[in-house]
Amino acid sequence: MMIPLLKRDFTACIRIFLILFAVICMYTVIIIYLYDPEFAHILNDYQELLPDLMAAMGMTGAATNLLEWIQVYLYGFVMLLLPMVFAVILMQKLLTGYIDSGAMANLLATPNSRRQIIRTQAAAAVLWMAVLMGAVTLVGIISAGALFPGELDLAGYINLNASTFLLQLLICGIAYAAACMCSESRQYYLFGAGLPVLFFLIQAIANMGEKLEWLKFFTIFTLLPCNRIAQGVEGVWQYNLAMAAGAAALFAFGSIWFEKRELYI
Amino acid sequence: MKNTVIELSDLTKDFGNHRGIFDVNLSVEEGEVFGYLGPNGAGKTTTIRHLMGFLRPDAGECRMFGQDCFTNAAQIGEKRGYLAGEPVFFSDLTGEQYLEFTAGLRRMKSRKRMHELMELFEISRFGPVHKMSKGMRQKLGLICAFMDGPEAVILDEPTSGLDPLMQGRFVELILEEKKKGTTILMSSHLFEEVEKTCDRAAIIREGEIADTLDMRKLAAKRKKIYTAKFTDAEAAKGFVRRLDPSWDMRTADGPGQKEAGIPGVSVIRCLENQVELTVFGPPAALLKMLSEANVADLSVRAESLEELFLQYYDTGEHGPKGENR
Repeated sequence: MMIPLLKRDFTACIRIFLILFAVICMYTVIIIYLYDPEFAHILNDYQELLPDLMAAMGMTGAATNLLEWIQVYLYGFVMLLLPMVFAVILMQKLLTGYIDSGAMANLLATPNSRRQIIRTQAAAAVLWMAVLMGAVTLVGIISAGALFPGELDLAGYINLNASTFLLQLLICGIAYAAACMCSESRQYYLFGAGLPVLFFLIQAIANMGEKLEWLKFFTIFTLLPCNRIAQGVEGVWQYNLAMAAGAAALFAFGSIWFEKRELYI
Repeated sequence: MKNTVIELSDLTKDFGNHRGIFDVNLSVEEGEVFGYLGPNGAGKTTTIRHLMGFLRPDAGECRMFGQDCFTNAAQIGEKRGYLAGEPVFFSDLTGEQYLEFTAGLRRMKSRKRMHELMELFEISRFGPVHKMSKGMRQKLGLICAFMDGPEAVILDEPTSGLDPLMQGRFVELILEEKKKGTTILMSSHLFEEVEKTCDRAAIIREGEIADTLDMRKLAAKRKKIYTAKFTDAEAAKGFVRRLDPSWDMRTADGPGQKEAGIPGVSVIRCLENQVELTVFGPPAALLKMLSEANVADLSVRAESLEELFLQYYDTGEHGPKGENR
């Protein structure tokens, strides 16, 4: 691990982190603040009235308690999309930016191997995502505790965020592999951002109707066991394991590719 | 026998359409300053990318300190400094912060050399990278390349963007490093800096080494260029006619190859009242003739490497191989 590079990664990403963290916090606090078992019925009515629209926004399932409420209205859209944006920008800053601009040449000219460099950047990405998800979880717990003391199923909420973290790591893995393979930012965005967005759209369509439900087998978002966690159903760990394994495989693949590739810098 | 620091054997990288480098053979010994010359697109940077371990050879070998440049890049990096052709730094940092960052990555203990180099290039404060001029960035890159006391340095067009004063400082730096025994390979298309600093130089043309030259031997073989001014054009023509009766006055421009009446002297051109001559060997006979011809003014300079190498830059034939080795 290269400490000076890790420090550099921190300063390079702090601004985008703060922006996205602030937006996610705002949503989290507002959604928790809006929790009202009565209001939940109204939204349930909306789901009955406009099932396709609500489903496309990832808002499916009845919310009978605070955890379900949070799961339905945050973890179907905001908590999928915003950390995804963070992951894509993170990889641009940690890898593609260096390769595209040629600054990677300066890193490689120092007595540090490609392996050390790429592992440092992978570690920085995982750390940043962990910090984001950790901080958001804390904000959720604190605001739920302040607004509705004792209402939130803490273990369930932490599990929900842990699984979401693994899903975001999987997205990081896609962006990371794309960043390791591409030489230009355009190419990187095409694959590193394009694929996760495509998966997201497929999931939105799959949510909409029974006829299109088979599409769920073609998106990574199916691996997020939101409903199971919220409803306290068994079998969450298999999903977590699958996401962790996928992320690890993508990170390993990207690293090996980067170590062997040719760099026109 | 000195150690070989840089060794390229039959290094080939084929990008198709005759682009790339082909069968490049070079060896640079410890303490040697080696120039790598060639027009744009000849393959200088591609060669350097192999030395830095950014690219993998299609065929042949590329070694520094006896180690493979691609697989052992980090070990080589301990002892090697590098300046990129177009150095890129993080635009949100100041120059000082960037130097500190690089010093950290190089695990440098002392900052003494860094400050010495800043003094040499007359930098008291760098300021933010994004506001730096091309010359300033070049200086920052040069300090990065040399501040860790490297045993070998690879420089890709080191003086581009530097003003003449700083180019002079650069030459000072290279000569100082040469005394220390640092091995340096620098690519360039400026002959002057190579002429002042290098022991040997290779010329690359369309991806192939056209020639490798020993600069000391070359200096001994170098001709002088005499420019003689006469009172008027007629006097100049008269002088040329006496010197070389076969000179073609209509074109007033000759190949400068064929020797005139005096051994070692040939006419390059005759324009108005000026005559340009190349002279190799003792000038006594020429001087006598010039004084008899009532020369008004005479200036003498050494033939530049540029004039010597011009032949390699023409797209047609290769230069006279081996002549100056």
